[in-house]
Amino acid sequence: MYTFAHFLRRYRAVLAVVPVAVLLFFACNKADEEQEVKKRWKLTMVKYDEMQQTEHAEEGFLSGLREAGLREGVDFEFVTRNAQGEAMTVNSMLDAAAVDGTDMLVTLQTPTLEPSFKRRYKAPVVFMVVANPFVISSVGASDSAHHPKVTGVYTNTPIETMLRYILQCRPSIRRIGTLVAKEEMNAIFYREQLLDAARRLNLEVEVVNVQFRTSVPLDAARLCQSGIDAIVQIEDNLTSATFPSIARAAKDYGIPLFSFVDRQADQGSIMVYAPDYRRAGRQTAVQAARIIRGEKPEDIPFGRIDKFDFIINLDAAREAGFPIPPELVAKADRVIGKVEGA
Amino acid sequence: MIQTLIIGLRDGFILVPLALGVFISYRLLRVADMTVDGTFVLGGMVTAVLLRDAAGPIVAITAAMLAGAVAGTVTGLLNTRLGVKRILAGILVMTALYSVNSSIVEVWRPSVRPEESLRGVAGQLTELLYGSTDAHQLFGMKFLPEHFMSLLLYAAVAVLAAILLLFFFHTRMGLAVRGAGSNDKAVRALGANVPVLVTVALALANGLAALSGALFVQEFEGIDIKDGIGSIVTGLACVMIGHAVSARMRFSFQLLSAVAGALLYKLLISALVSNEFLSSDVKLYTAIIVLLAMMLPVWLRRGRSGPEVTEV
Repeated sequence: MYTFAHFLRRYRAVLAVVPVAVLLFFACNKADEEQEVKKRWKLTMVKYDEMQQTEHAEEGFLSGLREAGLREGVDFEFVTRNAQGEAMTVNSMLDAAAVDGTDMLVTLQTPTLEPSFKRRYKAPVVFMVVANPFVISSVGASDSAHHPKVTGVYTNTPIETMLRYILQCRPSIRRIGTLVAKEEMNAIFYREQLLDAARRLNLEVEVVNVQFRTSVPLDAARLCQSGIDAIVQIEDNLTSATFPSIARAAKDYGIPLFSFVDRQADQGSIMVYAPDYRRAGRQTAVQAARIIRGEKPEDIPFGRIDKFDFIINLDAAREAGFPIPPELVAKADRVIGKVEGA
Repeated sequence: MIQTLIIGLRDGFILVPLALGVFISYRLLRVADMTVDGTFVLGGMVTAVLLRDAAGPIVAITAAMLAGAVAGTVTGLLNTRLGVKRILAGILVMTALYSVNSSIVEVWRPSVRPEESLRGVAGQLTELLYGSTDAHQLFGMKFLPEHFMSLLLYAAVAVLAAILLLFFFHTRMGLAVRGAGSNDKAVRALGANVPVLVTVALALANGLAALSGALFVQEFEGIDIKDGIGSIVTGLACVMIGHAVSARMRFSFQLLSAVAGALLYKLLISALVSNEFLSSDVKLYTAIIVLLAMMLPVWLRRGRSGPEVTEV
């Protein structure tokens, strides 16, 4: 009779080899992992200013590094600095990082990107929370042909998608308006994106330039009085900070309002198509992990945020008399207000 | 440590002309001239445009100072010829300059060619003297020699500006300007034209603020329209810190104390920035430091003569 004892005797050599092989496999893997990151990297994050977007991006970045198998305190240490909106402080922070052992700069927002590589330090630069890096001419010409020291993830919100959603709700819309802080590079970029997208969809665009926080309510009222069918508010720092007054003007004049920053859905925007900055932080962390593991930034193409949150505020839509078809509501990542018939 | 010191002094010397400008308006004319918020950026913009067109740093700096002086003259004329209060005239010109600077951005797209700027010159000098721009060590502490070269260049410009200003304030006209702010009736009685003197002082103050903007843009190779916001506060902080130690000293020392104030102010900020725990709240600590600097003379006076009686 063939017993378990027979089996053990017969295959003892194999049975002895298997656990040894398994142990060896894990030991080698462990050794490989240890070889992957040869030193503890010091990552210095420089923010131009604290905003909801930068907070989300930072959270995403750190969890992205962990997901990439990097351990804080072992494979990397992380320092974050906030210039509180001062260009001179940005530069002082970058200069301090040049000799404090920083191995990689993680820059947030456009004003930190340019000086980070223009100051010609050796540390590679990884950027995020930037609408379009190519507004800085020396950063490069395309996603793959860029400055050798820099890589990162940019936003480039697909404005045309939003316009298509609006037209899906109300095909009769012919004239849209937006406020533009023309001193901001990102605002100019998005203005051009809006104009291009509108041209493709045969829409007219009314642009009102804004300069000061205090003038935004009046400028918004002027925009509402210019015979537009809807406000499609592009993203920039000034109008983001003053969005409630734009929403108030839109409400007063009964003009439907759409925008591209997620919290604006709670401030009166009917539909928001907003970049997911946590996701952007994770994408950027993947690039940073590749650099930590030995790749050069010049070999890593710029990335674009690959996830946008589509948010619908049904309460705001009802108030503005702007019906949203159920198939569009079904597409939303988040819906504010009660769905009729639900 | 050495790097912190170098960065602090370098940024301080960039701010020295602004501090001298604010010293003129605040200590001599007794007004916080808001025009400097606009002229700082104007100086930077003009410099950036000229450096882009390869005009060279000296031409760019001169043109920037002239542009700032013109803006200061407008503030002076609004005050002396149209009777607009000095503070209001400053606010008006500052507001107008925002649009002017905005138009410069839109029309000329100012951008600095690094090799044309003083920072570029500092880089070339570093290559020449040190062989590379890599970090060096001194007493076991790392520093970038390029920053040290920049510091020397800005120090040269700032010291030259301070010496020329000191010289000016010892000429007949300079003495009259000093008097025009504090005792215009006496100066008028001596036959001097006070409105002209006030306008000259404001032109000088804003020319100096524009010089700071010109140095700023050369070091940081770019300037944004919003970078000037708060220049008056920065300038006042430098003047206050300097004033804390020179309140009862003769005029020359008071003027030089504005230089010391700018250097101290930026050294403190540099120390805060290089500290990983404090660097995210620089503005809060800066405000506390300026407050302490303002309180110091009061405390010193109280110490000497007992508590002050405040009139309500």
